[in-house]
Amino acid sequence: MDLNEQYKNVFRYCISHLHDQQTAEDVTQETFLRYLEHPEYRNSGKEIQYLYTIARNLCIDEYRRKSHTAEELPPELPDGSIREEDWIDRITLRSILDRLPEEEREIITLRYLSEVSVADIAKLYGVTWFSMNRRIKRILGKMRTEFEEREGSE
Amino acid sequence: MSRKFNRALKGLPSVYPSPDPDRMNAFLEQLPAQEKEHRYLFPLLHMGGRPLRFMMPAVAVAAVMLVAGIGVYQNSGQHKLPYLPPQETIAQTATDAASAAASEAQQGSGASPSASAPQGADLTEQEPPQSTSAFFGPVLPPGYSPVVTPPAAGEWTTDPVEPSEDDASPTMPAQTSPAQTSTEEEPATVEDPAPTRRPQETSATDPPMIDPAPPVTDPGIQEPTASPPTDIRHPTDEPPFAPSDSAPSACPDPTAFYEPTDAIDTTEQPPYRDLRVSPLYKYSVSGHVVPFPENVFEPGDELHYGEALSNEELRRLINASDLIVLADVTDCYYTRIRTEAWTQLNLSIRNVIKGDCNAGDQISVYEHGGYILLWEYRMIADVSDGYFSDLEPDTTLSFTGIRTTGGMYLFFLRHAQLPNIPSRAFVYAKEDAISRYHQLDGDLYSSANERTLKFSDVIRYR
Repeated sequence: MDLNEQYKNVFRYCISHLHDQQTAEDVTQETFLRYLEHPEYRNSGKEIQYLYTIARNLCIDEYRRKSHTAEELPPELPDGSIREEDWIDRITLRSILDRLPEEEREIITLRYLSEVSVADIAKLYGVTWFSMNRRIKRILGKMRTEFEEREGSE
Repeated sequence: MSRKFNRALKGLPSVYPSPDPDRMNAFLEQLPAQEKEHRYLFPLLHMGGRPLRFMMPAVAVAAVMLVAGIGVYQNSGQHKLPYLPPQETIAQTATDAASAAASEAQQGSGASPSASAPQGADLTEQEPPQSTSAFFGPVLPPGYSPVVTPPAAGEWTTDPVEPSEDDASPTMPAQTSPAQTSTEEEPATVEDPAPTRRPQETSATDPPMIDPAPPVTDPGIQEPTASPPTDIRHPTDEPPFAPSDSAPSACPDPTAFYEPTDAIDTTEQPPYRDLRVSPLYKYSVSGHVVPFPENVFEPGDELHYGEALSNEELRRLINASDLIVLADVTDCYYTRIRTEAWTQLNLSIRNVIKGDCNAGDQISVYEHGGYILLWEYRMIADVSDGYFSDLEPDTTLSFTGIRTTGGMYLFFLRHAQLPNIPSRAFVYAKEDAISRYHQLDGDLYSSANERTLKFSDVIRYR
């Protein structure tokens, strides 16, 4: 497991839930520390599942502790390599994602922000690969419809 | 619009903040040290990842059993070796010939044997020679010679196998190379009453089961190979080491080394294995086909649609595969597993890149998606939706999938370990569209979601 890559992925997962950079960093680091405390987690073939289960529980704890209100996360500023139109599309898509129901947002976040494989997400949710794949496609279809509606209205 | 959405989806991570690189690097640099600290700070608390409190009872029980076992062993006296006079057997063996000669000479001259015989002869009389056999081998009857009597001239039609110098015991003859077998079987003047298994030979007149010319002539590809000859060298019904009438009954029967010829299947074996399975249901596609609502199973990974597979992805795909083959789709059946539509493909393998199949083998692959007749679907699933009530009973529901048609493909497969799928069947190694490729142009192959790979890379990384 590439810790550097996973750190970024877990951080994206946390910030999509917590909407706060500092808290997301803290939770990400706490996730890795707890993961490494348990040697039985490693080399078990379920490292990703353990990692995101810990991260999810910590995010829930943090959310409850601070009685978070769903603040709008300020968008990152685009760098020069991205066209403005593409950047707007991404911001639009992110706002659609933020308005999804909790479980659907979680699944899409895991898949497309943290780049967790469908197989690992399916194991996290205790469903088959096919079932999870269909669920992802269904959510994407919903997001695509809303995306097109917004594009059409502009 | 769909491409725009996909592009936005792919770039979605960029609109989220990135972790602070300084803080991230500092944390990750500390991680190995912390890992060591956890591992070695309290080494007694963990043993192989398990807390010692779980290991202690097992260690205590093992120690008690060990002590008890040693005590029983010592009390029984079994640890003491049996007494064996050290010089008797050696002296008997060394002086056997000399004492016999001496006694013969003394008998002939009438002198007392004790007067001139060496001391070893006296010991031989005190200790019977059978005592050596208890330690050095079975009792051999007098007069038995372990040397095999050669057969009379013309008794064997071929030369017997020359035993090697290291192995003087009569063992099963080694299998010969195909060239040897063919030359030795040539003088077939002697009838062979015992049906022995012949090496599988494909004559030029036999119709080929598959196209013998592989489409890709890469040197790394396994060519179809004939099974090794299993013929045993002796052409007659008697093995070369058959016991003669003069052999004593105590001699171990050398025929025990040979497999009974009755057990060998002499029927002509095809040069391939048929590993296909039969689908439980077979659905035909009627004229009126409607898509299943919420039918969103589409091939393709939206994140990397149309991209070439990276080397890392290809390695992972190869590692996940039990079988990588170039194969022709010969049959296609629409079936179902529980309420999900599946398609069974029967493949005829052209070339094996990885796995334990051979070219010419026929296998079955289960692919997600297909067609189910509506009236059948009504019986197995909840179709109370008004959508279905508007449809004619003979309608076919279409469940989208990867949709493999006939032709040659490169498959990355693994053994099906899914419930309700026959265990002999295969499924896609990665369960998505990047496990099946059709030839796009020369060395380039493309999957259903237009992800490409080079065949030469598959050979390189397999």
